[in-house]
Amino acid sequence: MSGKLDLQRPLGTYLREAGEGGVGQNVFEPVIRAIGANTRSVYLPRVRSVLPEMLETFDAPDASLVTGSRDTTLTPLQSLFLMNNRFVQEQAIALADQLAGLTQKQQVIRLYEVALARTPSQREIQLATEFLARIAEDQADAGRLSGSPGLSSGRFSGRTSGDDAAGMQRGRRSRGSGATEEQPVTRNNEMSPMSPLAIYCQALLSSMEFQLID
Amino acid sequence: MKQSFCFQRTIPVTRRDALRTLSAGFGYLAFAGLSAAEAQQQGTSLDLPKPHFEPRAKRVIFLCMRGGPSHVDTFDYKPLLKQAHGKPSNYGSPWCASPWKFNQHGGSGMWISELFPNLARHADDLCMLNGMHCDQPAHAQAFIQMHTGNFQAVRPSLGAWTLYGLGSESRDLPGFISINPPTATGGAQNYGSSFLPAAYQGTKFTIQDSSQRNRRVDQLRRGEANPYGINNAVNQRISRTQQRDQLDLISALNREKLSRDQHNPLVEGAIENFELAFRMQDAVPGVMDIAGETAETLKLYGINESPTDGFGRQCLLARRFAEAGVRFIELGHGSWDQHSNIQTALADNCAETDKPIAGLLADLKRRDLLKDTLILWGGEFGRTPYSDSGSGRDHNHKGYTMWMAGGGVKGGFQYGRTDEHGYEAVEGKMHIHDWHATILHLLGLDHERLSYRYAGREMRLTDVAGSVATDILA
Repeated sequence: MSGKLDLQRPLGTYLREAGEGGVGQNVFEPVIRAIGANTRSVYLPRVRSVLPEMLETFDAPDASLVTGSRDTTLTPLQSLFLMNNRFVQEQAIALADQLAGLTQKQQVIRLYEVALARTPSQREIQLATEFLARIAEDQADAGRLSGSPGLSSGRFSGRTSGDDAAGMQRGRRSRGSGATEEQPVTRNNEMSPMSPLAIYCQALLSSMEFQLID
Repeated sequence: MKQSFCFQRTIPVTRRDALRTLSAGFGYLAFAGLSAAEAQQQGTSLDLPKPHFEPRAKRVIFLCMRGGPSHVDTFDYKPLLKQAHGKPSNYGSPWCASPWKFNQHGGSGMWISELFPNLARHADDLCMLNGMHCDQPAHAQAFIQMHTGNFQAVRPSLGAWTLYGLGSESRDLPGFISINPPTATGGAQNYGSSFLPAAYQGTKFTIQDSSQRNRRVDQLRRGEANPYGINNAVNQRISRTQQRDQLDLISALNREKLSRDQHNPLVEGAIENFELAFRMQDAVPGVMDIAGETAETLKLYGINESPTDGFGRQCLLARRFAEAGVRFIELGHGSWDQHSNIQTALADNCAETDKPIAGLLADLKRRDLLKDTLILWGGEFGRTPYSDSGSGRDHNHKGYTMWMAGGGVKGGFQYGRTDEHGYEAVEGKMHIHDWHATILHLLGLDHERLSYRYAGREMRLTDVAGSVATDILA
């Protein structure tokens, strides 16, 4: 949906890239937790008790157990993941980037079509419009206060500053499957802020309607 | 026992449910109708389940000493070893006396070695369990059994059972926290929920240890330390005002869905969880920030001092989590696996933990928290009273020492003993199942009634064993 999924099959194993070490303790855990691959999840390695953070947070069953039915739990850690995790933010930014060039109303309609497979109601369009205006205003205020250019000017697109935020998630460890180019690693720990539309996209991705298939 | 959490999905039967339970057929549909009414009566996820009887302890702090701490050098005084030193033992290698002196402490006259000078001052608070034993002398199996009762299959951990039985009192922190757990010897299993719902699993916190030795040894095992202890605790991209707006929007979108679905506990739960997460963003950095503690308190725990800084911070955080209503807190220290270097390595371990643990006991006491906080100390097994090399001891699961303090146990009390050399528990024997049964009892839970249906039968922490050590109850 964010246009970042790499459909190619990755080459080789993660272990090959991790190099030498005590398998299971020193190698797998950091590698698997840090997976930032854009390939489909069917290619994720599965090492008994170690899971990538997202799967661990969202009820992936323990691989050393026989599991007849999967739990469906709700925990605040899941909410924190949706609110604050870089991966989620990067997806929201990429999603917003794809909507550049549309009018605001078109953007909202397109988003509902892409994310929720339906058209938004009048009320939902109204919620979106109000939200985008409020965030834009808040960012403009913050911009004026700090003396930097307002963040909300121009078209609503994912990134609001020049540095490559999308590289951050994958920067720690790029899969290098041949189809994707190496992305720059941001040296310091600062992250670019998000545009109002990207913040809106993140909210939509965090909604229960997006998360549940029903 | 009945769950009262929101992840119990009841009605309406969604497409997802229907697909998932297709084989269950109409029986499921009928059940969904019945249980939906029940779920509505049960209320929200924040309702606490009731204990089986009046609890003596409200919370647990488990000081987990990974690797198998030697009992005959710390809490199990064996004067006979001195005379037998160097002579052949019944077990192949010669007996090995402890190089450390033991003294009696407190009104109870409890024998504690000179390795724990600070803790020894709290002898009258300690309930010494000298007759511990478990099933395996191998680290992973024994460590997992200590945490879950079962080293053969993946089972819920003690903390997860506790949370399942009692729920969490904290509205803005996880109810079960494990600080710096090892990734080896079972890894996440040791704080996992296994077949219990994932809401009961422990949340792993990683914190910095300033001591050079531990940084080197444990960093890879623990993973990257995070200033907030957990991932995703802060948002570096969106201001708090904008995030509040964003959450209000998510909530509005979820309410739209709720109005369409009429009743959907999952959506109701999600709305609640985003608010909890929003509070956690304030609570976690707040509870992790010890800048507001007095210099006297920091000193009490040995913080900003070598070699106590690392474990001192863990102990202080344990108190702060306890105050915040966290139900089960586990601290990790190790390794205590001294096969060849016991003179220096055991002394180092004790020096790192003695003052922090004594500080924790003193601090809890003066805040009147010790009376309903159950402190547990110990590792997966003990060590042999004999030594091949004379410079270390091997694994011994047949007899070793753990101790308890606080919530509902007798202080200055010794329970059980090993034989005259300290090899095997012979009196007041306490198997890990008994230890678990006793801990649950102190928390107001009957280990035979605290069960969860999995794989066709009611499962327990103690499986089909375990008896409560009533002698140690205050």
